[in-house]
Amino acid sequence: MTGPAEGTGTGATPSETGIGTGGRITYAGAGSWQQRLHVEPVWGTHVVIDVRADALPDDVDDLLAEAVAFLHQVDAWFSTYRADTPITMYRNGLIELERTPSIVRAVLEACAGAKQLTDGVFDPWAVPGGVDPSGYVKGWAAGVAADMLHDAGIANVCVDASGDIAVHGRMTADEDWSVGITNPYDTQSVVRVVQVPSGYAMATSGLYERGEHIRNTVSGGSSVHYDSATVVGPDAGLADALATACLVEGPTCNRWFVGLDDWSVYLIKDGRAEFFGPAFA
Amino acid sequence: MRRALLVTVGTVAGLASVLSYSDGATSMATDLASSSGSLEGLGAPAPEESEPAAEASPSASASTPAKPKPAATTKAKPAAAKPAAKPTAAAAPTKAGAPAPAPKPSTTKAAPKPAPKPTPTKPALPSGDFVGSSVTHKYGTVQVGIRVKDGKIIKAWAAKYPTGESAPYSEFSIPRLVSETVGATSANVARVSGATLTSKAWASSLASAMSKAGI
Repeated sequence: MTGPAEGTGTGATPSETGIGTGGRITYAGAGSWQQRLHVEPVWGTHVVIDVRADALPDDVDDLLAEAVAFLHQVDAWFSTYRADTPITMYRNGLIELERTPSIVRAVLEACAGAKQLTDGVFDPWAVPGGVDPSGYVKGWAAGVAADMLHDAGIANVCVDASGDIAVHGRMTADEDWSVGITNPYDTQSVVRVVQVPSGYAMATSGLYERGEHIRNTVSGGSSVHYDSATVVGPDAGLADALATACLVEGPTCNRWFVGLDDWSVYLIKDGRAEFFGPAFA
Repeated sequence: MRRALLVTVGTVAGLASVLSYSDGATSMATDLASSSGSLEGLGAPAPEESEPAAEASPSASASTPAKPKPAATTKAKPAAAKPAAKPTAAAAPTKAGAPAPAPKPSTTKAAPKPAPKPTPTKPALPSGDFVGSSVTHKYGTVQVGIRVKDGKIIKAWAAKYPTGESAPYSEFSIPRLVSETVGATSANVARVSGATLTSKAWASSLASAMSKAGI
């Protein structure tokens, strides 16, 4: 495990995303608050943890280390790229489902719920090689990490698991957490800024950069309807799953949100967006 | 948040099935089609042929699948791989408070049926806004508007929807999709949400910027 080491990361230059070069995206700081940022390489990507408070607790480093340890534990439970994880051993028929850790079974149960909610469009069982809950786990883990830090006494938390974002509290004393939706046609800009309420999560799915991403989590090949699908709601794992399902489904995805008044969706296709929900009102 | 009873669909057939799903009122779909003569020009199948699902009925407020929680999130070490305290069994989405589950009708899954191709002798396909007649059903009065372009419904909305005592029931409607043009905008944000590599680049760039700033 890599310990907390603020300021590390791979060497993309600011100009690659427009940060710090007078580009279109600027980074919103914490204002008068104290802030700690941590970027953790894990799961083949990066997870950014951003904690802020009028006064951060003295043990903030320990709390960040625990959250980071959890992220790596998720890898040890759910990575399909490692031979020694429960999910891989189950996929390969080496252990029965009953012998996997109960957290693995609970996540698979949640995946089954997401499958049912989306009429089978989100289907981790319909992929070659056995069940693959990756389309749920990244968002879910971001949500759990954010909950851990918040429950430990940090008022304002944002965990960004490479696009799956979970927040608690606010971004500054005056503003909710502001999260941009990447422009799928120019990934150095954003098309919309969402004020994500405390306790909510936001996930975006799209094929514009990683084609295999969708094929792995959705039945029926890689055919998708939208260029980008963003879902905002109070459950980070489900937001992750729904973003993928909406991307594939098309405009009729709104039927899944009957009664889910807290949820919002922003869908982009051919330069136009379709959206609904309180986050975009 | 304003909600309406309709979904943007491609054809009258799709609209009919959605209508019957959201309200369980098959007569509503029929009324919509028959009360507006212009709609006949769409060439879509009559609502009766589109298998309206009369058995579908709205139920109480929906809930989402349960969130799994790790056992000891504050001490997530390898030992935490032991069984979690509460694997939640009720992961399947249920409609809380409903006397019985109301399975979603399969008709809503079907892709909207394509309208028959126009023949050269027919007049141009209709375009414009059309409003159906007011329909009263057990939850209140509903009136539906649609925007048609070249014979296809491109937008639908509730011109009138249940209010007053029945207002809570309007919450069971399908969220209405609103449309807008996408444009890149300047933004001051803490994060961006995008497909994986974009966000990875953001994180890397952030790390780089942090390093530069000496954070």
